[in-house]
Amino acid sequence: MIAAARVMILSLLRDRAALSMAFALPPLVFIIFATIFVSATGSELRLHVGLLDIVRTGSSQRLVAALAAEPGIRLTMRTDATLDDLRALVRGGVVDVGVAIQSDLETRAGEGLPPILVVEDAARALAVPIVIGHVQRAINEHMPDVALGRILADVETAGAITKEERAFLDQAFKTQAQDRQGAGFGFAALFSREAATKVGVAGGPVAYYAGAIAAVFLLFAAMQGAATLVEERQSGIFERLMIAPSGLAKLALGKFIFLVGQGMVQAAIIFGFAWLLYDVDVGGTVSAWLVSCVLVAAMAASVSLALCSLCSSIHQVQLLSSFGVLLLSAIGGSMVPRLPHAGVAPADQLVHAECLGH
Amino acid sequence: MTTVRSSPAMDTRLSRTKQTELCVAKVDGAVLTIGGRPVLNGATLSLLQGEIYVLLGPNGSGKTSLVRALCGQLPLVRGRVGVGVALEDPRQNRRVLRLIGHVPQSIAIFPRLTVRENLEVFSRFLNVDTSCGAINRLLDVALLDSVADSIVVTLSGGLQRRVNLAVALIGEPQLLLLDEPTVGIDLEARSAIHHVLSDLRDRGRTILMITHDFDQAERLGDRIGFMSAGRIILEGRPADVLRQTFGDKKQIEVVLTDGVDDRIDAEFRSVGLEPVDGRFLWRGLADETLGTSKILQMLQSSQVPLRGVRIREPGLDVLFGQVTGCCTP
Repeated sequence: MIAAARVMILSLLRDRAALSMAFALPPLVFIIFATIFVSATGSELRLHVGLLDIVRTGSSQRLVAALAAEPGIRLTMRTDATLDDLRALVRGGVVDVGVAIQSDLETRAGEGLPPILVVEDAARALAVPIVIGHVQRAINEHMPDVALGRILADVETAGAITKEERAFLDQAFKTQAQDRQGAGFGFAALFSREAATKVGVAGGPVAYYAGAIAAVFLLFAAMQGAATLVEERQSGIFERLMIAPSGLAKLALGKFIFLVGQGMVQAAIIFGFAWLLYDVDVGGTVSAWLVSCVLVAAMAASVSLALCSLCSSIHQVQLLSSFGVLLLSAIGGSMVPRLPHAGVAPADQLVHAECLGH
Repeated sequence: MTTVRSSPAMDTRLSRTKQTELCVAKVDGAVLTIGGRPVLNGATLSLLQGEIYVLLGPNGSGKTSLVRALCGQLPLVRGRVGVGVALEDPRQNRRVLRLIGHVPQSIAIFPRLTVRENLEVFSRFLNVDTSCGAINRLLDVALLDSVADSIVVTLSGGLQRRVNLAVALIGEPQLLLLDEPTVGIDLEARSAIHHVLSDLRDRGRTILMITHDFDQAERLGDRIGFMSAGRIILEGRPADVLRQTFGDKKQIEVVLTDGVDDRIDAEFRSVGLEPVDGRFLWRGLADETLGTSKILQMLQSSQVPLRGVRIREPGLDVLFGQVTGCCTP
């Protein structure tokens, strides 16, 4: 058992390419992810929106100003463009979503075109509801008079209020809109946010990506390490060890111990970088982190060894490795593999361990 | 199976070795199928202490399966396998596997470890004590002292083969099973392995070696066995089986620079020559005196486009072709 682990350690130490892949690549990928998804853009996805104000009314210009102030989107304004130009921008991938204000926002429902047209790219389907959410929030927060005015128009049509009452309320809304800096009414305080997993509290999403990258690399590295089983079977080492008492069992157990150790070191390096570069606090939850790390590494090692024992060639291992990690990532959610195990999502534990207690 | 007995006068090798009649491994009427295909079909073999037994046979004749059956790796349908003085079945008593050292056909060692590390690691797998200079003794026996601390992957093919052999010597097994131990290496490296094997035989080890190298079999083997279709069809001492099969016959080989017409073709066949490689190489067996002179006269009189004629003692390659029906180079 110790002999098998020794073989794995020495083989890894003497293969510089494999060594750097195992221990230098994970922190590098982590830094890239952290930079792209966290440092560069903050904690929210910043969509690129092409905005076209066709009607240029007072309310449409207020909406343009409100959207320009939205931190969650990046606007590209086209003043002299047409709707076709906006469609071309979306089609060409210049912007994620196009938003055209094609009729006055105070127009009643059913009278002409809906005020806002969203031009979408089928390849960016998720961007549409996000942008619609931003637009609705901008209207609710910055133009509550317009939002309420549209509702009142419908209420008036239904006969629930008179024209005089409607005129009175319209005037009240306008006054309110002018006094927005005061304690005016609106929908701004409708939502508050809370992270159940506490991601974003200690070091923000960096901790999440540290755990996610660690989980991915633990699986990849475990598959690569377990692939030596196939090489050893092909080279005749299995045949040789079948003569030895419990030779194959010792070999498998030694590999398991090595893979768990390798996984621990990989996770430690990634979280070490997270601590050094992004102030992710590992020390406060070190015991939870350690337990989770052992569990995830052990499960990655056992799954990898089991899969590799079924493969008859390295090619099969590579295919299975890519497919397996992608599948587990898809099951667990983007970039967070979820190992199949009753009632727990162990790969997530690396992520959660960082967040426990904060 | 035909067993050829040696005549005392011819048995020069016997006096050189420590061979006794003590049987250390036996396969008796082994029948084995893999995936419904018969692999061993009544194979019978006895290995005596201190001998090198060379197993020859075409690919797929069951040689490797016979070795694996001896290691207890394959369950027999019929027959029995026994290893050790008590001839115990390795599938029933795994402890007898300690008596076996197995050298697979491929180089079954860890490539990124040094020679010494490989020996240490395999010793631990085999639960063999490595104290008291056991590793150094192995390095010495396998002539690997000078490269003991070299990483295996940096060594030549011949040295890697010797490491492969040295690993099988861990625990000083009585019986060594070698599956083509010299395949793909040069003459010098092969000679070094021959030296190691001869030395082991002289120390009383029993060696069963599979090879396709007839020269190696003839020079190294105390006994040879020809295997075909899962059975050993002929065995004995190399000189005995050759003499018994060919007597005083010589092999005559005719190499032409051009093809021959139908008349000469018929003449060649009438004196026992057969085309081997297209129509340019012809071979045949002929009586030492009458036969060879008749062929030489025919070649002279028919004025064939002759490049050369070679007359030699028929070797194991010729015997192999005869007993297995396979062509030899």
